[in-house]
Amino acid sequence: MPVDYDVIANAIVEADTDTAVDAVKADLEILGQEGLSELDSAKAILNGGLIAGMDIISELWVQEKIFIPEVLLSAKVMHACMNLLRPILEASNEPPRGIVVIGTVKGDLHDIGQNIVSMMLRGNGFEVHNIGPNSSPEKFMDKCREVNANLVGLSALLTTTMPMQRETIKAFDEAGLLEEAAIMVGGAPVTSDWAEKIDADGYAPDAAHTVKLANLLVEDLGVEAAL
Amino acid sequence: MDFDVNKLGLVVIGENINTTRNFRAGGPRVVIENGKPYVNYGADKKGRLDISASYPKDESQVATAKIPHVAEAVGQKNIDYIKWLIESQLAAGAHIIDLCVDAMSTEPEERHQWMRWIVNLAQEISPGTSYAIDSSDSDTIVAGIEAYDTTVSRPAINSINLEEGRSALIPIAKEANAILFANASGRDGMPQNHEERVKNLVVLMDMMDKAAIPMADRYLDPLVFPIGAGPEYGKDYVLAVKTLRTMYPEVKIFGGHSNVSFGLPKRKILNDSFVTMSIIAGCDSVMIDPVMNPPQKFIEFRFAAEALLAQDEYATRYLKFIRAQG
Repeated sequence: MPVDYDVIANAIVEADTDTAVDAVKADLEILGQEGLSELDSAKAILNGGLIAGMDIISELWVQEKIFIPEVLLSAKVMHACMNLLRPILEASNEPPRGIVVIGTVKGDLHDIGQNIVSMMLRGNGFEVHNIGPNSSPEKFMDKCREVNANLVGLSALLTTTMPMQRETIKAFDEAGLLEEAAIMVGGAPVTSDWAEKIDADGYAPDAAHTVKLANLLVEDLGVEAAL
Repeated sequence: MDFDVNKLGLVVIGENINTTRNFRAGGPRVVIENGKPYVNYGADKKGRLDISASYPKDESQVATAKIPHVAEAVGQKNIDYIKWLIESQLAAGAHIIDLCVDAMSTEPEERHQWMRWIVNLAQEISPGTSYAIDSSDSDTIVAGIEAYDTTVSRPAINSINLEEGRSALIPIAKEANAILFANASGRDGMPQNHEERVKNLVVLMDMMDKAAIPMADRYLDPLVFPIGAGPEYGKDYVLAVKTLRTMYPEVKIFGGHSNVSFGLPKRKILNDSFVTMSIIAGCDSVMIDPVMNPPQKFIEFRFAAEALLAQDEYATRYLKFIRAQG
């Protein structure tokens, strides 16, 4: 029986953990029998099944055909599947799609938005380090250095804490860390104009768009590295 | 003006004069005339607020773009529009009207100026109304209180919590004889369950005790978060209200109830149910848009609920309320 990645993608959309996990296990076996290495099998399943499923979820969400709780349930199913693939990807030193440090800036205690974004990024194959609300520029930078992050997400939910996004970007600049990592900004009062004004690398209005943005930024970084 | 809930049923805090408020560019409030976009307003819909600055240039974005109509009106100093907003909230039953200009600027000094401006304007439009000075920046609240003419109405401060610097507003409230909103945010983060909500508000209650803020002037907000983002959030709020009501029979308890339905469809179903549940738990104030969500049914419900649950002996208040309806 050939591998049908749609089974996994659909199970993620339907938030059916058992079907998704069983299909991942079965596909690993089938691909192995077909002669694929364990690593290549895992990557094929990740891209063809898991991420494809989450792409559908993002699209349905943007169209308001499904709602946040359903997105979070699907992300949970994706996590369960990732738990099977992660040991394989890690054992081979395969780098994750991107390493993200995310948090809400100092002085701002809102954490719901950044938690949803974290879950969506994880659900799309990113390694996410969520440092929580009220995070100082130093805390962001320390975590970035520790985990070798190439993406940073700065959340601000108040007009009064938006200037701290600018301060944090400045601190990254002064420390020479902007070469290493691209900076995304978001939060209810944040706009693309503001992002441009404070020299952020990107802005996204919601969690689904953050995933798209993160993918673009990682590809950009990849291109730069290749040059 | 101590807003006696035994007479009012519920204290209604109108949430609409907030510069973060918006609606969809493609919605019914927007009209295009001679190629320019406006918000129509007024009883006859003949008023026009110019929204050229925030209306999307790209036609394809009209369906999703948001128009920050209050920020537009404030930025243009469109007094007529603000007057209409305030008067329609009062007509719809608001007792206190919230004023928030945080979204006007990321620069503190500019925010302070906008707050002074709107406080003076609002007090000119309706001098007898209590306005809540709302900001996430304490200095903006101080600026608003300084501009407030406390001889014609009592201000409210929105709000104190355990975050750094916020408790400094307690003596300021005392001095201005202000109503004081207190929310359950912790020093380092938002409360994660109902116990933390109660714990944080108890600390604030102690501070308000020491400052001798009258019980009837304390408005506790245990914080409503969207159930879409956390399944426990609705329950956490209701449980906290219940506990707080048992501990403090005389304080006001309220919340931003409509937060609960963020990100879900048919929000009104969830919002109305949530307000109703909160009232049973002990809520006696609501922060709502009274125009979109007329509070009369909740006021009726609270009088009825108190009579039904033996909190209004011999249905005295219920009967008084019914007679007053005529």
